[in-house]
Amino acid sequence: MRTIREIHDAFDSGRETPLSLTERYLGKIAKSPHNAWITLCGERALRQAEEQNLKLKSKHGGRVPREAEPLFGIPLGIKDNLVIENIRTTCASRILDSYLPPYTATAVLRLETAGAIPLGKLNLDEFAMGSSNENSAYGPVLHPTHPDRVPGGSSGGSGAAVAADLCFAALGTDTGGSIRLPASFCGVVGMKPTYGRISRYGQIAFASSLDQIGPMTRSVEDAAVLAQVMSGVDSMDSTSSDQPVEDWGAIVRALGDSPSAKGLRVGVPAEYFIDGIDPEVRSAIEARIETLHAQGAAIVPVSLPHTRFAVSTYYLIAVSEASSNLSRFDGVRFGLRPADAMRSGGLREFYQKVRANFGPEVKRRIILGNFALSSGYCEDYFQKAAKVRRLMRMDFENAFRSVDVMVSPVAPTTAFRLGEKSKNPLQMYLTDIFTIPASLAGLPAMSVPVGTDSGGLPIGMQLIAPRFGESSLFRAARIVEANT
Amino acid sequence: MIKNTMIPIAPTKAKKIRQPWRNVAFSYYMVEVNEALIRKVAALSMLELEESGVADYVKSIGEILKHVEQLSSVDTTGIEPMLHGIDGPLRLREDMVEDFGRDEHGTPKVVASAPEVEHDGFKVPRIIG
Repeated sequence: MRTIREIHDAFDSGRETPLSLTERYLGKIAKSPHNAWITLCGERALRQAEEQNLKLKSKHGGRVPREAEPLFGIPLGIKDNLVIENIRTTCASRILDSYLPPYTATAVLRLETAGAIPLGKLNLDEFAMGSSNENSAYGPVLHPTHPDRVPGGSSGGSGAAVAADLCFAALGTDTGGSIRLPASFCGVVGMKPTYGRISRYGQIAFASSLDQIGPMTRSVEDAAVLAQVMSGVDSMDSTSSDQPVEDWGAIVRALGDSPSAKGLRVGVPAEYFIDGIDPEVRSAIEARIETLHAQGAAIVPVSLPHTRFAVSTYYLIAVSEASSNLSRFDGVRFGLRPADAMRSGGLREFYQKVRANFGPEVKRRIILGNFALSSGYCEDYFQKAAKVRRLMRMDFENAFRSVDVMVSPVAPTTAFRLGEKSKNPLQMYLTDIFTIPASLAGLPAMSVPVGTDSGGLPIGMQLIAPRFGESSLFRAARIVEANT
Repeated sequence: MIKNTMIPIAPTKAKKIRQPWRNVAFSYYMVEVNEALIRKVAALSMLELEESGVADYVKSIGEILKHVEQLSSVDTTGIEPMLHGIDGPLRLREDMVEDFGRDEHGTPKVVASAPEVEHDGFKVPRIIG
């Protein structure tokens, strides 16, 4: 069963129940070698599933309440930087190893209200800082089909779990590509909404002007349904937007199995088809552009001239915000307070002993961030990057005057080998070159699987839409999916 | 946010670079990333580094800062920095007290996950209190 619709049909017919489905997933997780999960909440999930079994029979006459609970009985995985009350949340960091949050993230709460059943917390790069999921204190996640490869990061557990069918869908978070990259490497759909669409209340912050929560699923329709459920204003997040949320699920369903691309204007940014892209990735994306053209879309060359500055801009801004956000981990109110910190002679030593428990990549980014913000350098690094960020956003605004969506590869390559880039942080950062610009500009973007390379590794196509243009994004994504 | 995290670090290796093609004085710092700089920023960041890792930070941070120097070639004259993800003001509301309740041991949930709790509050070592 590939879609929520098919699961609900199976519930209706009695072939499957929320409880049998939840039990089956928990059984598969127990046998899985992928290291995709950090914490399971099996008992809680089984309790929720039992309640739904009863409700289905007694209250709804055996029919799934699709309108009121569009995610009725759907088992989900939640990236472990999103909190659920009283379930351990680690951010894949030793520093939060035993943290039990007193509240639940708005996005998760909305999914649960819509009937979804969280099975547990998924592995990630520590504090979502990474592109390969090798930076986890709980060990790397293995690629779902090629165990010598990375699943992409930072939502690597989410990508691997959905692809290996260890949960029906998952939540990821995306700061510079952390949903789209693992979606591309693992061969699933991943969607990052417009900045402000989905409340971040309960997401442990990495870079606050960039962080967004989004769905990772096996179909565009399911991504649309999950995004729709989570979207909308939230008084607990001052950056959340009250822009109206359309019925994206219905928009995708209405397109049917062979949607036409007539009237769709598809931009192809020249700067995203540069030397250095794996030829197989390039030809897969170009073939899909041809197909879109054949289906009636207008293909329009566009230019985003500041693209080559994206990685520099992003890493200065992201690390600066991270160094500020991560200052809260001081061993005072929550998180780890190790024994050697208790023997400290002074406050500075206490903090240093506590914060020694960040992993190496997190420390690197805190150092870089504090350096970029420091007196004497702030103007040349942080402020300069923030100005280039504005230029990059203007690039998109100009280009979107003539197109509805843009398409590109998600990454220059398919999934690389474990250890291949972990010794060279700059090379690792360059993996995000095509996903970062949409993050900097706050735009909605998706990764849709468009086939595999000759080694069987998935290739993802990126689609980018204007701010609050999720309806066009999902429409275009469904057209790509239907023609793959 | 920026103001609060300003840390004075003397730009000891700073150079003024003149870019005559622009006909303006344009400065950027050719930073020499060395062990002393990394140790200094790490200490200001309240981070203890493993001794074996210091050389790696010097190398990797040096390479990253060298890469980002490409930004100095972008003309940003008259461009406002983009510091936020949203346009316009933040959505503000009145502060409200929200009671998170108590856990099964009777401890207020908001402090229950603290390393140490006493009398419904965060217990801290004497060096902090």
